[in-house]
Amino acid sequence: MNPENTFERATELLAPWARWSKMVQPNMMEVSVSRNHLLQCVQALLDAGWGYLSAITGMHIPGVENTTDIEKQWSRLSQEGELSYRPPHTGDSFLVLYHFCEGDLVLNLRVHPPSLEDSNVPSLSRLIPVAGIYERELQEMFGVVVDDIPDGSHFLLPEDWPDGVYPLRKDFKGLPEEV
Amino acid sequence: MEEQVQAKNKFVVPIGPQHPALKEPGHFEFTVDGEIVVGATVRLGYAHRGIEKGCEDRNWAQGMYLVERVCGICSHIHAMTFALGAEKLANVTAPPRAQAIRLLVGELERIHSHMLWLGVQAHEGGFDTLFMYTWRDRETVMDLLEMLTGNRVNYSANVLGGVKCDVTDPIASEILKGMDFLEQRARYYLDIVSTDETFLGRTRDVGTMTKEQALRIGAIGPTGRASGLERDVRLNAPYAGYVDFPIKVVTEQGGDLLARTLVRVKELFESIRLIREVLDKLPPGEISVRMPRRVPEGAVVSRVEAPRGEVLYYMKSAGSDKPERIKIRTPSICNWATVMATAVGHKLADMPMLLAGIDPCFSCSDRSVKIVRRDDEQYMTWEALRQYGNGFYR
Repeated sequence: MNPENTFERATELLAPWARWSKMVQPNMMEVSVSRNHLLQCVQALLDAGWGYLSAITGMHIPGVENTTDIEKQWSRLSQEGELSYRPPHTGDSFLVLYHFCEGDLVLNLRVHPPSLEDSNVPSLSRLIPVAGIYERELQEMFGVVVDDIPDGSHFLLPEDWPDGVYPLRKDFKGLPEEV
Repeated sequence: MEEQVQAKNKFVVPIGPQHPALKEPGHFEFTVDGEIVVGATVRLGYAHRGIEKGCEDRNWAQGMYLVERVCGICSHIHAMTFALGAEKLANVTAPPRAQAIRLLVGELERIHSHMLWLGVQAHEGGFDTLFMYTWRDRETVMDLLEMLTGNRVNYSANVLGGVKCDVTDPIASEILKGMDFLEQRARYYLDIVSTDETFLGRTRDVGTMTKEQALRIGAIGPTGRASGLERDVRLNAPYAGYVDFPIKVVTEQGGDLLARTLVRVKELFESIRLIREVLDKLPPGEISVRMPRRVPEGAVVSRVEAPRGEVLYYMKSAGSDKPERIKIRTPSICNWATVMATAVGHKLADMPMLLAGIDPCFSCSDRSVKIVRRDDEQYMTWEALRQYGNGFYR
């Protein structure tokens, strides 16, 4: 634990790439970055010795299909502080959070690919070897595509798990029973 | 091209899922050149039960009992992490007495887990006497946990907003008696593991990981602390009772299996010291407060130091009575990478001890798929279960 590693320091380090940041909890800050800049951000944190990668969380955010609900979508996104850089997603999307911990501080790098089809994120495993395991889990549970992952095989799901079925998506309600 | 030719001369030894040494399912592929391991991969998931997904369609209170089933050894840790996170989201603070009791159960659990591990490690090293001693002595702490909470495993000591078991004077004095006995035994173990030639032969300079490696690979818990990495959530981000009862972190510099053993045995003394201190200065008052059924919108990361290292929960609420997303990252997951990295260059025969050396927990590395069957009966009466059991073995 390094007392100089504060949120101010992290904000400074990530300044070139950060789109916005907000405090989610008194000890948790979220910084939104583009997936194209993710590797630079992680490298900057590593070079400065700011914390360590503790986990990668994937989330499935259901979209709003009904156009009349766009209002709702707008208000949700404005709450999340995303309006400043792009129009709201209307379809489903994934949110990927990279949790870095330092002392009791948690810094989430937040990557939000635009849609389920275009959901590629870069692999961190060349910078942080353990990330490969989290990314394998992310890939098979959500269907997020992790580019350049050294070993993209199943980590937790069985070998005969059907292709294209991702259990942690919100619309997954169980495998159809075999007849 | 040259690499391909080289790879052909090597031999892949698949181990598992029914592992000959470990009592839980995992699949490893060790690439060997003669006797020496040159590569290793891991594949888990054989104990997957659907807990992360399951949390999403249960309410907060039910979710807490579900996550307690993530791991049979550190069950209290999971329920506590969940409860602390949910309380933070709901702006509820459990009373000081509850926080101290959470710590108390947590440390008793750490003693039981470390003693269990020491037994397994001794067994993998062919030292079955030590295995039987530790497991016999471990019954002491299991009995204490049963006396305090009513259960030997899955104690269910937590409720959202506090704990449900109080420490009475007779229980406290029994725990203190147990601690005296365990302290004496722990001294004996420390003597054995640091002097017995056979055990030293199997652990000294095996699987050595330097501090730099440990940092780079992301080792946590006793595995990291054995490489001199002072990383312990109880110290870095105190939670529950650890705010009032600080711990002293145990580290070793060796980085080998011996250091990992010493860290865990020495942590027994630290846990015993802490338990005595808590019982001595147990704050008076209530043991729980009311928790709302609906948890306000928000997200929180809850971190707790399990016997194996840092447990991280990312919890998101959309304002309903059910969580929106619960992400569980257990310590074994992080430490797998250390085995895969340190295995290289060692003899195949060292693998069982090396694998056991991180104190792997398969059931907590595996979680989250749910398969719904139409004919699945959710509940069985005791009679139905008995009949099913009898029929099954007929």
